[in-house]
This record gives sequence, C-alpha cells and structure tokens, in this order.
Amino acid sequence: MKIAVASGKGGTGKTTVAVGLARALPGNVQLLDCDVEEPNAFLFLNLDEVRSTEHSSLVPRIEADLCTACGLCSRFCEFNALALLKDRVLVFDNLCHGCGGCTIICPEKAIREEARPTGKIVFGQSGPIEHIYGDLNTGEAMAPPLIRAVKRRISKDKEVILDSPPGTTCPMVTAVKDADFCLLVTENTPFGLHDLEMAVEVLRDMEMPMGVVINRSDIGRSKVREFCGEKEIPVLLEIPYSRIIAEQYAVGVSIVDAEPQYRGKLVDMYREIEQIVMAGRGR
Amino acid sequence: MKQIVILSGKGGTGKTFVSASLACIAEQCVIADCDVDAANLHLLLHPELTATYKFTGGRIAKVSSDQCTGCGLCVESCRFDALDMTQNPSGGKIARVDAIACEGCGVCGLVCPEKAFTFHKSDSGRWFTAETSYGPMVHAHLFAGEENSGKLVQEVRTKARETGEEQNREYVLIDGPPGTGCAVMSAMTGVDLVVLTTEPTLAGIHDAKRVVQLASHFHIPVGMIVNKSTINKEKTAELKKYAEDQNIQYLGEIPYEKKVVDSVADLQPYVCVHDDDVSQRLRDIWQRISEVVSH
Repeated sequence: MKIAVASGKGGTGKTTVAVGLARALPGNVQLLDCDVEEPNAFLFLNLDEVRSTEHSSLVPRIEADLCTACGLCSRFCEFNALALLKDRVLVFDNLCHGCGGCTIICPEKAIREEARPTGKIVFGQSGPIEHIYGDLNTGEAMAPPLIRAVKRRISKDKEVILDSPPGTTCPMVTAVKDADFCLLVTENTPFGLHDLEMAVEVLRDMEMPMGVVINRSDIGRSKVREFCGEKEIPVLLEIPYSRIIAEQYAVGVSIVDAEPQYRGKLVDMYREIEQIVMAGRGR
Repeated sequence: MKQIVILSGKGGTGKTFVSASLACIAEQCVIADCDVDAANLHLLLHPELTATYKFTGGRIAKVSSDQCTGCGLCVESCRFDALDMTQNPSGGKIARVDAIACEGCGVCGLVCPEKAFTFHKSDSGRWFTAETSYGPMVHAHLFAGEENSGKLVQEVRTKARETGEEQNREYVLIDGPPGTGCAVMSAMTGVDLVVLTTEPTLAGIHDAKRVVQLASHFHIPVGMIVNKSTINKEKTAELKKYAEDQNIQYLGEIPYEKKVVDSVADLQPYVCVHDDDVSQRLRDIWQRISEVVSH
C-alpha cells in the first residue's frame, strides 16, 4: 500500500507522522521524501549506506550551423524558454519544462537535447527503512520532474510512505498522485483549518481516499473536527501538544522514540487505513 | 519604497504571525500575501476587498472524440504522464487528458496526425486588492491543483508595488511561501531584504540555510528572526552563530508562548491584542529591519 502524508499548511507535522509511521510499522518500509525543496525526513533517520545519483532535466541545444532562425521553435514554446533574435535563437534553461516540442518542430533538425543537472536523488538505509529523497539544486524552479524521478523508485513489494511538500498546487499533486490513501496532517488553528479545506478540495478532485491527523490537537480552538464530520472524513489520530515531542523533534528524534506509546497508535492507524482502502471508503 | 519579504524555508515557523504584527507596527506598508498556495494573512488582517481579478495560468489540452483514432502517438510523446488511452463508448480507444498533470506544452497537438487536440486557457485563480486597518493589501488564491504559482506571485507583487507608488507608501511587506522553489524565487527577486523567520530545530535550521543559499544566489541581504527560541536554547545559539558567520543581521528572538497561538485563534495580529515582552520584541525587530533597509 502507498500512503501519502500531506497538508495544506506547512509545519503541521507531516514529517513527524511520515517518519513515525515508517518507524512504527513492522517489516520492510520505503519512505520517500517528495519535498524536494526542503527535504527533512533524513534528519530523523541516521542513514547508513548513503549514496546519490545526479538528476538532470533535458534542455534544448541549438546547432548554430543548422539553425535558420525561422522562429518556429520560439513560437511553439509555451514557457518562453526560447527567444528569437535576428539571426539566432537564445535558450533560457531555467524556463524550460523539458517537453521536447522544439526538437520535433524544428524543420532543420537543428535542436538536440542535453541533460542539465538540476538536483540529486539520495538513497539511504535506516534499519529496515529504505529512504529516498530528492534534493533540488539552489535556484532551480521546477520541483515536479524531480518528484516524479523520486517516485519512479517506488518499490512494489514494500509498504510505501510518501512525505509530500506543503501546499495544494502542482508539487503536492505530483507527490500524492497514484497513492492509495492520503493522510492530511493539520492543526486546530484557523490557518490549519483553512488550508485543510483546500487540501480536501484537491484530493476530492483526484478521487483520493483520505483521513486526517490533528497534531497539537489541544491547542487552537478551531473547528477541524466539526469540518471533518461534515465532510465525512475520518479523524484517524489526535496528537495533543507535548513539550517532550517538540523538544525531541528539535534535535531530530522521532515521535516513536520521544513518546513510545505512539508506536502502537500509529500501527493501529495504519490498520484502520488498510480497512478503509480495502472497503473503498474515505473518498 | 523598500520591499521586504518574510521567508522561512520550513513551513509553520511563524511567517504569517510575524508578517501580521510587522504590518501593524510599520503602519506605512502595502501588504502582499505571496503564499498563493495557502494564503492565511487575510485571516488576521480582515481585508475589505476593493477589486477581484481573474488569474489565467497555463493551457490545458483537450481531445476531440470525433477526431481521435486512438493511435497512441500522443501518449508516447507526453513527458508529463498527462495522457493515457481509454475505451470510448463505441469500443475503440481514445486519448484521455489528466488535466492536473497537463502542462499545456502542446507536444500532443504537434504529433497528432488527426489534429484532434485543442488548447484552452485554464481559469487558475483569483487575486484581490483590499483595504485593511493597517494599509492596502494585495492577496491571491491559486485554485487547488494548479501550477504557475510563480506567475501569480509576480502579479500580486506588481500590483502591490503600483499601489505603494500611488499612495506614497514607504514599504511593501511580503508574506512569502514556504520552500525554495518557483514561488519563493518570484517572491524574492528584487527585494531589499529577506527576513528569514526560523525556529531552533534541526529541520528549521536545515531549511533556513537553503533559503540563505538562495538569497545569496540572487545577492539579496538577509536578516534573521528566531521564533519559538525557547524550544531549544542550544539550537537558538547555533542559529545566532550561523547568522554572525554568514554576515546575516540577527534581528531578534521570540520565545515560544501559547499566547501567540491563541492570538492566531483569535484572528488578530499579536501586537494589536497584547502589550507585553513579545510585542516589544516585535517592535524592536521592526526597528532593526527599518534601519537595515534604509542603509
């Protein structure tokens, strides 16, 4: 089963829940950190056997001898990555989405694609947990291609947990796409509720079954529970504020080590998710 | 006019809490909420809308069922996994577009021998101009699942700057998005100061350093606020030392207080409802920010 852990608002505890779940489950687990702008899960994992591979995006390169400056490529490019000058075409690597259209449209076959490094994919092992994360290079704008590259490493015979980036737009959708279930981690504040509503909207569009974890559940006095009730979304776990969890989080200690009772609670939650997915509920 | 952006890298470190209070203290701001994915500042500042604008983002491909012969060339050519083949009612195959994955690049239309594709601008969000008790505000809402957040951030910033110039405001105060990608870069380019609001945790420090890297990539000066500083005093000291080493202006610390969370629950900027040590710290921080940007 593939479970995505997401939230609209940042800092609600996605990584706490994703790492906690990975640590609590028996057997082989794969934890993929899809927050390639700010990967954090590895900070809680003491990784062994760390290795990495470069991730590249394809960008066009123009053979000056062959280019007739006809302008077809720059007119085709939806992302303004190609600019037609008087006698040549200029490429803006940062704007290129790598669709490959310019190489198809060029009548002179003057455009080929070249791999340009935009980040790396890091692999490591933490006990029975296989961890993979993407790390986008400074100044790179496009997270989704690297998120897709991380997800191509999904293992078919492991329990898979996907730690998603915050927000409700393109990167979050790319991260949670094709998961069997999405856990939304929120807090009981107006910010948490407002952003949860948006996250629920996008998951409903995707027809993704979902459940909610309320973190720091005794702080904030908002109406997250009422909202979940109205929308018939199960609240699967509540984590009251704990100074111990917060202090241990600060130094990279997982919730299951800070407060061991969460080991059982997270496993119970996982079993409940299995039931929901098997019954086809929670959409 | 000086532009100041509040950033953090990691989410939930207190950007919006800080932004709302600084807007309240500064009085002379245009306020821009550039976290267009998950805008929250309006919940604290209660803007009264003066105008609403449509944001059209990218294009989306559409297949004509009359023309598609199910050849599959488009599926092979799409680099974004946005197309697959499905059964049509008459039993044949037909291409299907995943509207969320589609980036509107047009390659499917280029390779389709039947010219079965058309492209439509998607209605991707809204942006607003508004008045608050603390000054004019521009904010936005990018619809769920949409892309082009960087472009929408640009629109918000352009309008905020124009408003500031019209009304002779001294500052544009920008509440930024989390992360270090597309939207953050749009929120950051050309500003006078990045106010990095971080927290003394491993993740907070890790993410803050990435924002510093990005800011130095664009040659933008950085100031640092350590929020929830009492969660871990060693890590707070580590951040302060890091700031000194990197030539980052250390703007101040805010202790972890339940009152801060409660002020958010009460939907008010903290300094408007409390006159205490935390409020004084926020006023001192603003004083330092205004000194730094006036140099």
